[in-house]
Amino acid sequence: MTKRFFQMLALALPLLLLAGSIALHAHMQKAATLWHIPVRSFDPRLPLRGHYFRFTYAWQLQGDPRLCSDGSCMLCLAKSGGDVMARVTPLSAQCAHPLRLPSGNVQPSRSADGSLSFNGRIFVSEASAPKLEAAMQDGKALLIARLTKEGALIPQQLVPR
Amino acid sequence: MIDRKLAAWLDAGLIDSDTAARIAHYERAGHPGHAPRLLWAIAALGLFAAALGLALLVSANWDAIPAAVKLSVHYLFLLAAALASWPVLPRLSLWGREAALFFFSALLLTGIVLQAQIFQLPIKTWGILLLWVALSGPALFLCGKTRLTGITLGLGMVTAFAVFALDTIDRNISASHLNWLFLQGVAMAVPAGLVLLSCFHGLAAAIVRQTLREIGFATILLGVSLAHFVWANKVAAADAGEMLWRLVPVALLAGAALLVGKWQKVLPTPLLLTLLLGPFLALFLATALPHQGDTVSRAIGVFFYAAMWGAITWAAQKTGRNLLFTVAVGAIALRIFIVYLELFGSLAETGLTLLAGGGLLVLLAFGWRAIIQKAHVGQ
Repeated sequence: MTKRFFQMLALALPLLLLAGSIALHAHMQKAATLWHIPVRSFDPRLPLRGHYFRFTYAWQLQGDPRLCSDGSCMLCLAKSGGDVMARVTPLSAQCAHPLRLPSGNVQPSRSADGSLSFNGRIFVSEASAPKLEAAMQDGKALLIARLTKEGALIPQQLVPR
Repeated sequence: MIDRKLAAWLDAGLIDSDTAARIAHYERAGHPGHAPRLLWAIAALGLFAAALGLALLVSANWDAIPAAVKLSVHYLFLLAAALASWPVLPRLSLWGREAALFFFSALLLTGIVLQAQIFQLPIKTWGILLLWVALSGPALFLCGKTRLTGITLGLGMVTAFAVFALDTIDRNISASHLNWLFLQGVAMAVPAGLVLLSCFHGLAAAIVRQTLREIGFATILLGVSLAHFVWANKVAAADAGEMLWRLVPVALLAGAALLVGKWQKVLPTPLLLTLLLGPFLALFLATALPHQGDTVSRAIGVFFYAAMWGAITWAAQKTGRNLLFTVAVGAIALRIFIVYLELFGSLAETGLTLLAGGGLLVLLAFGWRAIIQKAHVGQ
């Protein structure tokens, strides 16, 4: 009887967890604010890797990049016309639209001259990949993303500008 | 085909003409359990083509399918597979239930990937695989009844943790460095963990536990045999120190498997000692002991390798495990052969190496034959 109970638990628990995960992610995305962020090619030679596009966020970076040296910092996002400004601040700073790092969707990267940039990736379908690849190489790509209350940025869609 | 064989058996006087006629009648009429293999093969090919066609049609229209439909249809398939594997429902055939359980496990993996794709989750490959092991592992272990589920679970665990270890091996995050080393050690300890898991009677079917044990031991022996080549490279004190951290979970799980295995009488003690303790010592000496990677190191490495496999040969012979005995002798012979490649030099050096190695191989072959003959006489 006990063995049978554990067998049923082993079959039912993954079903519940998977359903819970779907509900949680759907809820997080529904409650998040929508952002249109310009992006540029991560590597002009190979923006498309498999079906995942890698890109660099082309927002206007402000503040002290050294705050992100250990990977933990906050980007305070603000809209400015068609652009997005991202101010690097400590995690404890006050901010209306905080993006907290480290985050899997916003990876800090330092170039040889010490400047800081942030990279991300998004899944794109095979059908839309060639058009997006061309837009990315022309510097005319826009990322539609949702920023959750908890400070996570979730890429939704990549579109040509 | 059967007519030719019957004619040959008739000629050899093995059967009489009446028996041959009865066998021929039986085979032509068909009988229970005699599956029309050609028919099944063609039908399976047709089904495979249809399934592939369906998958390609879905792929071609992937963009047009709303995310909610993708998630819902996938979840319905998952639910159906879980219900078909459900223990209290009317029983399917053994293979029907096993197939359902296998699909349940496969659908859990695709479900994680589908969610990562739809919600753009920044999850790494090893994250997906480890999550899959955590979700489907218990069901495969507790509900599995054949080698299919045992192999899926065993190889799945080894692969998931190996991908994790390989992906994070160069990670050097100062604040949590030791944590990463320890987690890599946990990944290295998975084969011993499989052996430990196989010791718990009553939880899983005997064939599943046996399969996990075999995969565990095979991975341990293969891994340690490859790891002994580290003797050919320099291991600095810092690298050895890092390895020591990684070996802590390996020691704990190998020790636990040894104790529980002995307590549950899973295998004779000489086998448990030589298959768990021997490889651990060989791994420890090769990777956690600083050495120069010069000729002396290599010679020591070959000695420990031969000692490990020699001990396994002895234990296999003592406990009548002929297959393991053959594998162990083969592993020693292979290492002797590799010595040729390592010591290529002048004509004289190569000649001496070939003479010594060839002589050792001949001795090994005769020793093997003598032991096998002795075992046969003993029986």
